Amino acid sequence: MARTIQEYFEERKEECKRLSLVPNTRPRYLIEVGSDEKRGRILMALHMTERASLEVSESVVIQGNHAHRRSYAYYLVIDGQEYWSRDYDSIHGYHGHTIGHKRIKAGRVSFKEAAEQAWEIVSQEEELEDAG
Amino acid sequence: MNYYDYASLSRALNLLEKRHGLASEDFYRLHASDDPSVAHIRGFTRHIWADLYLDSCRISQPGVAA
Repeated sequence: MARTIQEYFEERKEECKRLSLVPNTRPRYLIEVGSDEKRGRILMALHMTERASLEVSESVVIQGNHAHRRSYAYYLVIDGQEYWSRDYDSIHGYHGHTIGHKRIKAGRVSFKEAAEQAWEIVSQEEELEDAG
Repeated sequence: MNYYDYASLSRALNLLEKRHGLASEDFYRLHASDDPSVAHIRGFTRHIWADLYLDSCRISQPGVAA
């Protein structure tokens, strides 16, 4: 359990490695000044395949021993197009998007669940591409 | 480790405002009401812009936009 935002960041970095996700560019792990290392943000794009990447944004606050994501966005981008997402924000709550940014109902997902779903979509897309 | 504060959030918001020709307050209002005039902006960018705007409000005026 993360007790500081830095511990949360380290957990996320390890999770990325386990999920075979490598940052495309320098990932940004940011701590809010004056928050006693209890608030922070993650912003990064993760390489999946030649055609696919996962864009990640999280705003996190540590409450006790629990890391609470105040908002998140996990966007699967294929061939430059936003293909699928899972989002949480104070405007629309938990939701997702399909191609064309059509909003759909979707429940809460962990980063790991979002990444696993993204991998599944990417592998299906590649199978279709190979079959075509 | 890198840090952010109200000033760095404001700089990021300024970049988005210049890029899209829209004040953050106006963008947030349009985004929150699903106005089609901001539909051309990438979804990921919209999420971040709204999130940074709310955070800048919270930091500048604690309790207003927690």
